[in-house]
Amino acid sequence: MLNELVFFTVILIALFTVLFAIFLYLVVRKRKDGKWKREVETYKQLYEPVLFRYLAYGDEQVPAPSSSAQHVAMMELLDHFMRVLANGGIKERATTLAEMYFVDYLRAQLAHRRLGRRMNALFFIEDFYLCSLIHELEAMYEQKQLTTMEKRQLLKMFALFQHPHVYEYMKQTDESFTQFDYRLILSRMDDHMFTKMVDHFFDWNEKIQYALIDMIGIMQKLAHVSFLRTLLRHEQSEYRIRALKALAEIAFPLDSAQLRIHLHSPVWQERLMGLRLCARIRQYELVETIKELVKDRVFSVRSQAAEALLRMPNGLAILEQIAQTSDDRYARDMALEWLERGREND
Amino acid sequence: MIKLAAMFVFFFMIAVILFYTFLLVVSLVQLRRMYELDEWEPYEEMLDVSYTKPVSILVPAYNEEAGIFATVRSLLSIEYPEYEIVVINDGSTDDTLERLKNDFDLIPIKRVIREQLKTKRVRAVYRSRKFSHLFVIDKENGGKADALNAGINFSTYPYVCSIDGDSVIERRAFLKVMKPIVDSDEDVIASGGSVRIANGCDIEKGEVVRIGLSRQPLVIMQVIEYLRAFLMGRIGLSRHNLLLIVSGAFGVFSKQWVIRAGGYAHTVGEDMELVVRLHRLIKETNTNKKIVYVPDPVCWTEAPESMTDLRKQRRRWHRGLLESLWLHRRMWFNPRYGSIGLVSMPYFLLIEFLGPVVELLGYILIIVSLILGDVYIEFAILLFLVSVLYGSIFSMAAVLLEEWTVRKFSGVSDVVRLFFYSLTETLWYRPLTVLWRCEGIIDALLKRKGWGEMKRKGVSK
Repeated sequence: MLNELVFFTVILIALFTVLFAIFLYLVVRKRKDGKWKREVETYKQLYEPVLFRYLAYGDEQVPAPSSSAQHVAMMELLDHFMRVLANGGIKERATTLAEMYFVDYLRAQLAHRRLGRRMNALFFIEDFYLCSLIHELEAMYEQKQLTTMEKRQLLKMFALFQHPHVYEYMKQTDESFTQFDYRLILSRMDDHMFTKMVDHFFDWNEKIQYALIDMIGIMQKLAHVSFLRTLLRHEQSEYRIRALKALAEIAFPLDSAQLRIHLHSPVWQERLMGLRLCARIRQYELVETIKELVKDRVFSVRSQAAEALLRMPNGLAILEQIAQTSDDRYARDMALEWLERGREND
Repeated sequence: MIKLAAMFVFFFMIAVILFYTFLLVVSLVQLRRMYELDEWEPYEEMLDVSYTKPVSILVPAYNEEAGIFATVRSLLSIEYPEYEIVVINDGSTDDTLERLKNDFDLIPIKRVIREQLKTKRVRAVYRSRKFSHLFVIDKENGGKADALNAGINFSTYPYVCSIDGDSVIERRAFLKVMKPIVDSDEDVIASGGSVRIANGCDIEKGEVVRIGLSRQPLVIMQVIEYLRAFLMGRIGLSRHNLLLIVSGAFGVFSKQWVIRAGGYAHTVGEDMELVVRLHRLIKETNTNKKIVYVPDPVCWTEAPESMTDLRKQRRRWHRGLLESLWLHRRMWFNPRYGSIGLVSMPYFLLIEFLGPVVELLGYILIIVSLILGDVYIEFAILLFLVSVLYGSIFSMAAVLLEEWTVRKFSGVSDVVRLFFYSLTETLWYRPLTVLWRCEGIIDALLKRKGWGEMKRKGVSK
């Protein structure tokens, strides 16, 4: 027993000593950090008018930062100005300044052992469009121990810089990449690159395909409407649903006969997206079909059908009629709700 | 006999200490990985509505007139592209509804409520004239779970978030808590954020303007306890998809999955109960869905300041824990439920639930051994040493972990006070909470009901 007592006493004393040492270190570091932050703030105040004049009018010499506090102060200020003053000329001048003063600093950060630092450097390179670091980024991408977070960020940047090997890189992506990642990558591509992606649509994995369809709608890429229309005839319902959704985003008018096919689909999501498109394009010939869908067995379809009716030129009257005469209780309730929503917006 | 009991307590505590050490190491690695990462850049692109899933925020309110304004106000100013706020007035007997009507200019509206979960009758639905995305449901009293279910029925978006009516959310918390869901293409079906204690902070118009530390020892100890639970426990468990608690104060759930799981149940700990059922559903449907904890997003909530309120709260929590564990006893040590059945459930059963009983036994043994004198004095010292390791050391480590990684406290003096208070945990706070949790077990065994409400002062100025 005595042995155990001695053993545990030693363990406790050792742990207390270690914890106290860490505590003292953290307290000292907190004080130092506080001082460093104040130093950064002072530099920010000093640089602010100079940087503003440089970015706004381009007629000021900005002194080169020499200490790490000066680097951080200037980078934070530049970032701030980019957010509030972003326009072509200002962005260009900010990039020039960043190329001049921060490239070496960022290169060192990209090799930092801490992920947070490396990621921050990548974010900065993207925000300031620093193409001159492209070789460092390529080398980084080839590293084996790269985290998924870095990989995603690097691919976004390759797309943004219109890197010639971006297709090969996209082919190499694994399961860890999500549709959300692909959307972000695609959103950074120029029209030429995006078109090439669409042209090879069936070569990509499903996630990239879905992201491509979504992005045509989100980015309103009218040039690819005919491609979306071909997907509407595809046997796979997910393609049809997403294509309808994208067409609804663009508000592209389909002819009534074609739309009616989707409104009668056995897949409720397809009916829903068809109705969403109807709500955007207001095709009066479809009123009777949509009226039927206010009685659909799926709640979201009923609700979307009522909304589509409300958007018609005499939507309120149509809904009023359903609310008073429909033989379906759910349809009456839904019509009443959208009638009220319509009146609120009047 | 005493020797045998002391050895049992001793080995139990050593096993728990080893498990906690494992959680601490996992948390340390996880938190340090993201250290110094920009606070804004990773979330910026989520602000675009085309990429991000809309969320319905549900605020169940029963007699929350003191805190409801600050909570709703803080929700109105969050940074998130598309969301609606649904306050559910669960038959309050105070002026909660009147306060909401006056403060937010509510008008009655007609809405078709899709009854996917059974709830008490909804009396009326209101919408704010000032904020078109703010709705208030007035319903008959049915308890928190019933209120949340009514909110789910009413909500229009695919994700729901439950927030307590006395909480204040940081502006970017939603972007952060939704990130794992968006990033995983919806493989993550629930995501919980950190909860911190608001007492001592300056909160104005629903926004935390200064993070501070209360002067009250009881509150300081709860701050430490929350740090320990959230930073140490949940990160470690979340890392291996073992999380059984997404705090009721702040968690986002996929509505479709919540409905499939049957919604919130009428138990004391409805938040844990739902997460256990979701895990069960995941296993039973053989899907690869996850429930995660995000350490950064912060929801500030008011902690009890008096012994009486704290005691009531702890008794209730422990009763809730037992209820959930008992309802899902089929999962205990059941390999069919994978790591949830073999690790999470045993952890909650043996460490979280039975831990206080063993600890109490330890305290009793220390006292008995001291009384019996010479023969047993060594046992007393040994058990005391282990309980210091079990209580104070881990709490001290949690405080340091916070300061080393998250760094929410701005003042050096706050960290110093937290550190030294955590040192004293074993001497007074831990025995008290152990006692209260054991009382919770007795309550449950005697089938004592009752919510044990706490009188709230409200956290906002």
